[in-house]
Amino acid sequence: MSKKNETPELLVSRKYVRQSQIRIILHNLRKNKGAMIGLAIITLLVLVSCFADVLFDYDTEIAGLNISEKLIRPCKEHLFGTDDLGRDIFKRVLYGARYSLGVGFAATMIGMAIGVVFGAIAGYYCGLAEDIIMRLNDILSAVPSILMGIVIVSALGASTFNLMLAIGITSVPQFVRITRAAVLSVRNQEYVEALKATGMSEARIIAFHIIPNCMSPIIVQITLRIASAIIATSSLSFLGLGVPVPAPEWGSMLNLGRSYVRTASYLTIFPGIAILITVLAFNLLGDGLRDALDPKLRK
Amino acid sequence: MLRYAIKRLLLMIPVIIGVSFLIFFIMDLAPGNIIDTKIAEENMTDEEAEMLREQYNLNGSMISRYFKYMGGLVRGDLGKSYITGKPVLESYLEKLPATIVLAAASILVSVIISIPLGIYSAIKRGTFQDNTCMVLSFLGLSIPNFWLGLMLIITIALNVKWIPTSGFRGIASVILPAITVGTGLTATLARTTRSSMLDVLNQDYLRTERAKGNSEFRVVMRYALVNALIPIITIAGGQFAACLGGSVLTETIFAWPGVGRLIIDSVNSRDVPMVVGCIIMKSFSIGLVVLCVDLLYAVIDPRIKAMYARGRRRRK
Repeated sequence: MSKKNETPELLVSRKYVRQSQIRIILHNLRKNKGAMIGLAIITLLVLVSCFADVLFDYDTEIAGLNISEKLIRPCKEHLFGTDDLGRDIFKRVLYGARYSLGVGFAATMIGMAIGVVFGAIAGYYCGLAEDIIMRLNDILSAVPSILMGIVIVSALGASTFNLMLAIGITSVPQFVRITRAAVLSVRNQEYVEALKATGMSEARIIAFHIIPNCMSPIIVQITLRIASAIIATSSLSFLGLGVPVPAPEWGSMLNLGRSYVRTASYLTIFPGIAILITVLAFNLLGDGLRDALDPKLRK
Repeated sequence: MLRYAIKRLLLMIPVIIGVSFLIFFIMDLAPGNIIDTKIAEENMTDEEAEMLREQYNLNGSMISRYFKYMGGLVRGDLGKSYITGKPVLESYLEKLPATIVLAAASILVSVIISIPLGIYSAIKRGTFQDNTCMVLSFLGLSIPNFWLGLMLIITIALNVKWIPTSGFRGIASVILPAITVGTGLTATLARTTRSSMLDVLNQDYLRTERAKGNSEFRVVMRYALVNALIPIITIAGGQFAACLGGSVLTETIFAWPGVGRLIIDSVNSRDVPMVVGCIIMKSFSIGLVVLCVDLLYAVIDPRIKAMYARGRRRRK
């Protein structure tokens, strides 16, 4: 960096001192085109899934039979065509957003809630607690996550809640590892020592002072985990282990389209594109957040 | 180094015990068991069913079954399938070659695509080409694998005669599944290659090599890439291990006779010893590959070899 540039940069950083952290982060995020596109897509999807019931009538349009209109190729009336029971694929894809987003989000929250608690305990109390938690974590992560999901769902039975639980459990190890690493890096800082000196309980220190300071890697992880949870949701549904039919989950729509791969390929094309766009949006946002939250990359 | 390898292998034992208990426990929660499946399929009388229950110790508690199973496991016996009666290990090894072929081919695809992509992006850092490459790799990360497989079947296998849509029959049949799995891996590998190359590209010794009159190509490939290789190998090795874990969905779509499908089928038919045995073997082989990758560092990088020789090991 040449000396000429130093002055304006210092000015910028001084300006930042007066701003809150969140504003700096948002400012950084806004400069990242990919992240903003991702955010826009996610907002749209969230809106669609919130108002899906207003837009469509579940019993007739989404799950109802209409045999007279079965397997129509994509046309003006049915943008994405209709499936073997005459249901409009376009409407089903839009309605399906609520399953993918809902399950993906809920599963990630389950994983995070468990993972952050144990990760923080492991990071804060070194020694026996850490050893036990990390060994259990090794065991959980030794089983490939998709297999773990399959085993859990088929043991508990295929339902939306069990699907969330299964995907949530498989994402626990990542959260434990990341939280532990973050907690390890702040646990010896002076402010923690100061809090201890004031006589604050350790649970309180962890919950209200350590975890908030470890949030940035956790937030990034949440965004990226939602992306992989959405893929996991549709994978398990594709295998018939997810959201039960006739719900228009994208994975189960793909599973249905599989029988018509030769004759009606549009049945498999569109739900897949929906998954692709959604996952891409979360990945772009997560990547942008990672850059925005990383103090090393701030300029 | 041998001591280190042995230590790592010993550390795998508690993990495997834990994994087997976990899977045993979850499978025990499953509604219905193998006898129900058999009664439905074979019109079994109550007496026969009772005999089978006795034989499989299904009347006892889960804990007693688990200990009986573990008793076999320490003697290297993974048990017998409830359904076929064949030893689990035999069935597993029967399916393993197909999975290894697919894993190797997928890694090959991934490496062929992502290393040139990563190097190119690193050289063209911050330009339009760099951004395009990285967006492409993101796309690879976001495509659901099984959907890509279906799309390949629709676009290629149904049109190109010599590429079969399913099964394991000769080299041609590996192409589509390998592309399906491989492209999913490129994103991570390309990004690793890029960042690892960026770390190396600005170093002084490369300027020395250029000053010596080496061509730019030789500088990048011979001097920069080799020094950037360690993180790339770590990721590629991890990916190979994960592939050995079986690409359940890809194997399902392409009717690939691999380990992934064996496990799915066994889960569906509640064949507990088969599921537990296969998952143990999987976790074991994943651990083994990761260990091999760690040992490979010492072969590639003399600095790490020297570290082993001094008997010091950094804590990860």
